[in-house]
Amino acid sequence: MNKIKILSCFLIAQFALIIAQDQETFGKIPNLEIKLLNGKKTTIYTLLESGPVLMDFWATWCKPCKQVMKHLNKFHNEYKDQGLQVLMVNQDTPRSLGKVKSYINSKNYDFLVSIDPNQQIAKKLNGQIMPNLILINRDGSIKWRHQGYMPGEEKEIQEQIEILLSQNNKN
Amino acid sequence: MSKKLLVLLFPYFILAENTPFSFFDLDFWKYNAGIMLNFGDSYDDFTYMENRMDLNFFKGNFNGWLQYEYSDPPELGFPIKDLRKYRLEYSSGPWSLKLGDIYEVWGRGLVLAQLDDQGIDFDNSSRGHLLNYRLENISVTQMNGQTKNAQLGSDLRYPEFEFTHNMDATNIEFDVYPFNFGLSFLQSNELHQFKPFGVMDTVDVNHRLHGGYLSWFGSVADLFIEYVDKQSKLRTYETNFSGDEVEMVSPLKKGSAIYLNTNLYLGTWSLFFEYKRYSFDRLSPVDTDYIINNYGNRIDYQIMPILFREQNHSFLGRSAHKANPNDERGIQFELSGGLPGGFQMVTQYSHLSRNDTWHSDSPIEWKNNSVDGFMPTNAVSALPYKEIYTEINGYLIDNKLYFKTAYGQNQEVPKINRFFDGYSQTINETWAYTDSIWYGDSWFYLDSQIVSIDTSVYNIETKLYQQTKSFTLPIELTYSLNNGYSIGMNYAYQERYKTNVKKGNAGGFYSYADSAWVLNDENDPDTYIDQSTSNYPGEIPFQINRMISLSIGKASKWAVTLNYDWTNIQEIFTSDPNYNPLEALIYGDGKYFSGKRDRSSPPPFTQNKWVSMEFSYNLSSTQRISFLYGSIQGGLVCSNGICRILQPFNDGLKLSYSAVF
Repeated sequence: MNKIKILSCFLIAQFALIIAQDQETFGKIPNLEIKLLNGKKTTIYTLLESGPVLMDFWATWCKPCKQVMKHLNKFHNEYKDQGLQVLMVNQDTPRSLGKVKSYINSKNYDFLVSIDPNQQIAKKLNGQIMPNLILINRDGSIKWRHQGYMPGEEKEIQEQIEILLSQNNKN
Repeated sequence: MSKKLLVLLFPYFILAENTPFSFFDLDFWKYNAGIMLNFGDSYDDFTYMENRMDLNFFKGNFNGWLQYEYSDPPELGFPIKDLRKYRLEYSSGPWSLKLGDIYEVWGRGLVLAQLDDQGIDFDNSSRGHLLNYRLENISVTQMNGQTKNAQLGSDLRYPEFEFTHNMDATNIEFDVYPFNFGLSFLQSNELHQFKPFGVMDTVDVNHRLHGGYLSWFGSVADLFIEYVDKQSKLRTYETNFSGDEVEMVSPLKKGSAIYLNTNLYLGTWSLFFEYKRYSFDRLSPVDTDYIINNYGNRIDYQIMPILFREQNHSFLGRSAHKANPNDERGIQFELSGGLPGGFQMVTQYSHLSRNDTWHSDSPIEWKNNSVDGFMPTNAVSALPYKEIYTEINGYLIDNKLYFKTAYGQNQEVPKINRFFDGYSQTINETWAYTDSIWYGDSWFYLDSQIVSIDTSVYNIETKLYQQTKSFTLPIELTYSLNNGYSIGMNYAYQERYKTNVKKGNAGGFYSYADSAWVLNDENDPDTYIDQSTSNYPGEIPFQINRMISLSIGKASKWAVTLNYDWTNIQEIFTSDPNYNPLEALIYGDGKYFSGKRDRSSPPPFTQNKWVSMEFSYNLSSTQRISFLYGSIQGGLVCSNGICRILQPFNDGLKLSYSAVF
């Protein structure tokens, strides 16, 4: 029982610490290696040279992930002139990895897709809950994060993209 | 001690500004962290508390990862109150080094795929080191480490068997776009616990895997092919004449696997094709599932493509096929693309079977014949599985209404007890007495000899097996309002058939004295029985499942979902006396609320039904809290934007919290 009390105190303390955190800062993203669906390899910082990156973790069996993809593809095309790229990091294991490319092609999506079958990238960015959006500025700083997707949240995603792009344009 | 120290220091990583050590200074380290807290308590004592905290920190060429878990017990598996995972990585120029818990995937996992899937309590990481050298188009990886996998016994919360693998592996990969080519080698020395005659024992098994894979990326097509060859040897130790212990190595099992995947792209249409042939251990249908006393076959590092659809609907997930990675071949096609009106269509077909057909010469003596060619077979004794799935989805009403409708059907022979179709011979001998004497008032016979032998040859057929089939119709609708609200409705209908099939002129009984199957009617070999009986209790012909869920949500804020799951028959019957108020409300049970409900004899309308309500709230864009009250039958459930595999849960409360920062 004492252990439970100690743990509860520990967890409450952790909870309070998170609440107390300044949510405006998520730190900087490490320079992770990205294996793209077309077989080419790159890094996050190479992608950031062109502009901000909106990263999302998804899998072929994840229903809400598929719902948000339609909107993310639209944002990728709408803001690519301002340097924004959407990078979809796939989490399918070898059990179903083969279907990823055919799914993306059938949807005619234009955004970048990478594969992460052993969840190396997801673990380093705590992206195991899907969908999981991370908006990264070109200097590598994480500006915004979001877990899950409910219909209508695409408006908030678009707002965050526009805030970041307008800040970059001012600078 | 070092682990405890790390745990105690965890908050200091977060409160870095206030610590006196520059090591914890945020300006020095980049970091991110995540917390998942899960608590559940139900009337049937299924109580769990599963908490995990992840911390990643980065500085220059260094990268570290710590995961602390306090689960007593977790939702699935064994209690843990310790630093569960840790890893330190360093990279410089073409070199990179990892120390700690390693996760690697080479090719499509025929040699090595290491995953951590807490949804099913699976983790096959190795604790050790990995060294990688990458130059231009060549990457060389060498790793070694130890993996411990526990297997459940009678206690679901305590591991009874443990398989320890000490592995070393090497992978060389060449990238010459549009080609990618890899060679892999893995060796593992396994200490395998088992119970040969009810007493715990261990064996020392050496596994060696050699594999290669090739990818080609084209503009209208792509191709992936992988092959692995596996050998396992048994190590034993014997004492020689000098009294010295000598290591003896003897071959145990040998197998191979091949996997092929190709995609063809025609505009926005894609044709996907997969082929597999896994043959590591061909066991008879009655031996297949027991891996404890059967060793030397596929090892846990091999997580290979399954070739049937990974479903995201709980009904389709519940009726899915259980893959056999040791002995299975199959094909899968999937055609997907756009329809007029912006709709999307997916249609899929898969067919799997064992590599052999089997026949039982006796209940314990099975013989196999290899299936001709490369394709799977429909032969019953090769345990075939077939699946089709078709889905149409899209948007209507000015992109405000999302709909998805699908049809899934599968059929399988999951189990065989007897399968014999051949000839049986009966022998009747006639003897005559050749020498006798009259003594007293009777004859005494001194010798005899056979004067005739009458042999009868019968065609014997005896087949006992289980057959399952199901179809599922899920429908999903989500309507988005302009003010950020959305309303959702999901409905699914499923019929599942599980029948025991008995065919033949022999009923499955075997006479060891005659070495023959016993005829249904010994006087009439043509008495043939062909019957199918339901496997469900009470001879209910088939199981009907229905599920409906209604949800309303405000984008980025909150969502409420009401789930109602109903079946006409449970496979494992459980009485549910403590039905919850949601169930009482739906069925208008006033006695529940007036305190007059009968706890000892629950009303029939509460049985075989699971009602739950979930409320989730986004504290911020990175923090989410949810409460669930009620009962859940279990399986894969997608709710409020997140998919999870849930355990059965009766009349209880679940609380979960997740955050990243």
